[in-house]
Amino acid sequence: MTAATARVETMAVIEAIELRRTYRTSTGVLRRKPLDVEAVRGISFTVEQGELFGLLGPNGAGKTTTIKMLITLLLPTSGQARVLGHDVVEDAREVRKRIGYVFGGDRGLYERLSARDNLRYFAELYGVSGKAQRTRIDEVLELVGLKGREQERVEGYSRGMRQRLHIARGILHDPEVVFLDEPTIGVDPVGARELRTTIADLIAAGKTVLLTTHYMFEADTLCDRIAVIAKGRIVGEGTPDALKAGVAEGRVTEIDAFGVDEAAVARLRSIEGVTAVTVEEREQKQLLVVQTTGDRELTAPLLAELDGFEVGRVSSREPTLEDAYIALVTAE
Amino acid sequence: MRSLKVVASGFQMNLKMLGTSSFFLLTSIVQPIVFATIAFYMFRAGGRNGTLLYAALGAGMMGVWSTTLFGSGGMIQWQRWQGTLELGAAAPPAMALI
Repeated sequence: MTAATARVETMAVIEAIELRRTYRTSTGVLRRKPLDVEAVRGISFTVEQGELFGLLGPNGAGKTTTIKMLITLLLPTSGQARVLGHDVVEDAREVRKRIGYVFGGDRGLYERLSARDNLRYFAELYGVSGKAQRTRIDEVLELVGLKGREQERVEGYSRGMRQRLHIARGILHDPEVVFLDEPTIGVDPVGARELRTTIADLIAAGKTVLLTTHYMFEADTLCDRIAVIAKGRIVGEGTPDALKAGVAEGRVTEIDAFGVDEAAVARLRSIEGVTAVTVEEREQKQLLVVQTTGDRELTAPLLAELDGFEVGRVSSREPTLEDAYIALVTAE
Repeated sequence: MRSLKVVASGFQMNLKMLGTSSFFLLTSIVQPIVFATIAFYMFRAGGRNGTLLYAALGAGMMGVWSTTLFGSGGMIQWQRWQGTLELGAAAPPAMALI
């Protein structure tokens, strides 16, 4: 193997270097005050060839803004990004030819047209020639499981079918890199599982994938590496196992409770050894998820702070990726 | 050649989309007829001979043009709401061709 070949093989497919994006907006009606919103505050990461890289973060963390800069839809305020060695600002056209972009939800399809018409139009935009077009459209329809339904109008499709059509559109021109922005959002469990299989197939076919998702199970199952974004910054990066190991020394205590108020939750947070407390509302009851350092038993002090509230089952378990995510996001 | 193909496929796609909208089809036929009819009666009431045909034709053309403008503007707005405009913007061809 020559030195040049080795260099190409190890070259990062996606590189983000100190990427920043500030939106300028305004408040007020008559007296407008300009307001700068920093959506992404200097993030850096790299994605290697054939890797499935996950971006996790709460709503408004900057995941979609980051993806939009990488796919050349938004200009970075500062910083640099390269996809397959091409700068996303200087060589936007070269980047666009080589990438596929899929986003979640109902938007992004011509509803009144059939799936085949949708794909035909995007095939033209991406320069898939006339002869190859029909074969390629049939291939992607087969891959996403829409063969036989391609002549129906998209407006009659279920959300899962639309999502699969999104993926078909994104990979139609056989891109080397695929950006998936919350592709399984709002899809039922069976549909989401099928989509995950499709995403795994993309990796098996040698594509490089950047995926954003809210679903921890999905990220844990699919991603080779994950970066957690909160408030426009990367707060944690590594393999799912490495991220879990970051909180593995701790313990997670789950407490079923009723009517616990903010003040009580704040008291729990102030206990020495407690690293994070989240409250999940579950119909009548609440589930308090308390992350603690592993060096001491804190069940008694926790219950002492909940004195006066009705408390149900108390259990302790090993941390999951979701716990690692919550610990990273709430630590900010 | 490639640019022409992109423009042609965009034209074909938009035509198909508009063809499925009965509201657009109705207005593109009814509006010019209504404009032409109003102009016809107005000019006939004015009693100016010789201008009747041109007035009706002109008003009809105004109707056609107004439907074209509102139709194309509406399509861009609709594509924005549907999220397809950004997919077009992220595609390799120049935005003007799309």
